[in-house]
Amino acid sequence: MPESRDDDLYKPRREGLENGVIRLTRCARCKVVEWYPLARCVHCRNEAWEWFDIDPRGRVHSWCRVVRPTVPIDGLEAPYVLALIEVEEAEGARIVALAEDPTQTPMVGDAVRLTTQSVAGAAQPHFVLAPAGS
Amino acid sequence: MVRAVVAGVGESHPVRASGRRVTSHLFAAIDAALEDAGISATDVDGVITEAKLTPTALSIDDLVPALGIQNLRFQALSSPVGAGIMLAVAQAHEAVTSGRATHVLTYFGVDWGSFGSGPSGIHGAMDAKREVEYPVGFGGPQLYFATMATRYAADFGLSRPELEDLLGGVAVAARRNALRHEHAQLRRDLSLDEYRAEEFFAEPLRRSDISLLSDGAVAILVSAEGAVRPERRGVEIAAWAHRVQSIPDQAFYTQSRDLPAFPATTAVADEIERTLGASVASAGVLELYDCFSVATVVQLEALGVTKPGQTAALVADGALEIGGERPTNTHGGLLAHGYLLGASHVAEAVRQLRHDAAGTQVEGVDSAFVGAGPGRQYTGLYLRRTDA
Repeated sequence: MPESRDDDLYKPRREGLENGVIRLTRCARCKVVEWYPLARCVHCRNEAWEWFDIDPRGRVHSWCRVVRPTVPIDGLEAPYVLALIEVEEAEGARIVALAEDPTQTPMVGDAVRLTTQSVAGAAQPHFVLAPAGS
Repeated sequence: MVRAVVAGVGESHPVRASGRRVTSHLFAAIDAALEDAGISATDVDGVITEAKLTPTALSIDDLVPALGIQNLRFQALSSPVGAGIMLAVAQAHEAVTSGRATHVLTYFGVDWGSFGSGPSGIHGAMDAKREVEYPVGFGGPQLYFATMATRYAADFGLSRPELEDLLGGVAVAARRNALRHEHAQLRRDLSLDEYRAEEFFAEPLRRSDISLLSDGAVAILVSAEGAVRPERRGVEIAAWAHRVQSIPDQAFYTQSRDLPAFPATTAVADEIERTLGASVASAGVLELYDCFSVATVVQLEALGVTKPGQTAALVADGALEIGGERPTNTHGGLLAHGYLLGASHVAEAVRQLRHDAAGTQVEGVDSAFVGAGPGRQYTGLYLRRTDA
């Protein structure tokens, strides 16, 4: 995975999303996950971050249903459901994701699978509720 | 050590859209504060203001010659937005008590009611938010506090109707208090039934859970006790504290592992109690940064006024209203008085302690806690009458 460049830090994330994977940053030296990336790794003082692909399983930390959008997004019709998905394998980092099914009412703690879907012409994180027991 | 007093308060009262630029509101507020204190601009020898919005609205460099300040001895920028407005007042207190300055002016204003993008503009300028959050429609504080409210209800086992009653109770109290304040922006009563009938903006938040947008300004002058007339020596900052959680601003609302708790707010309450020997809960009125109704709830708990998850009982009793057992945001707060990011909270607290509040007086009050963040950073001021 290429190291991030200051001028376009989030490019590897966008490339991952287009290929169906969600990427977060970790310290290029000590590998501690830091999302969003800090100015410097607090553990080893390294200033370079690398991107890694996450396991797409997580849990709902919390969610909301947006009826009146605060930012206009082409083709995203309200109401839609947004959640913060906690990814245990990524040291509890949280992914902001749209519900694939906007009519669903998630519950805090629900198991979900992260996916990617196009929003306004670019792939973005989504989630679907995982079947019970998965 | 010199004793410092809050000698002057000036306001350009909040309105939805004045069509006037922020500088016009700021000069009106500053002139009023100096007049209130009975001093002239040439007496001012210190200026401290909030660090993020004010430097572009009216920098200290531009303010000093415009006021004709001739002997500036002390200047500083505090920290960003709400907590920074409070911190500027606290630092003014330090500058005066240390003898570095005699009259320190602090000021803050916005014209978001008429111009600009408001708080969403600030948050959208942070790179992670622009890259990660906005493209999926997760834009701005309203959605942070909506998700926080949902998590709060889940953590403490509140059903949806119980959460609705809790948030609605806070919103109703703010509106009832504002109704009595002659300069509040939103003076229209709200019943719990009317609240419940409002449509969601971002479930579980409705319009009345969300801060207003305003134009307006506040200036607060902190002076050496001996340098002002006796009737302006009545209110002092008995204690203050500031804390910052070690997490970037842009990451706090999605990534803080402590959410929906606010460790910086709790740390401020602990330090106030340690330095003052009295708790935040001992204050006669509370003026808390209520950008959303749920922010009042989590602050009451983080400050130790109510126990975690137990605020609903207090709110249901109407305790937050003037005349209630725990008068809070007596001017109506950001929800109903106006969105000056906490600056009006300070002004209201000082007027309460002067026993000169504009229709909202809590009888016999002699101490007030004013707090703002709430989030990554928090500042608390414990104000007291000097005769208390």
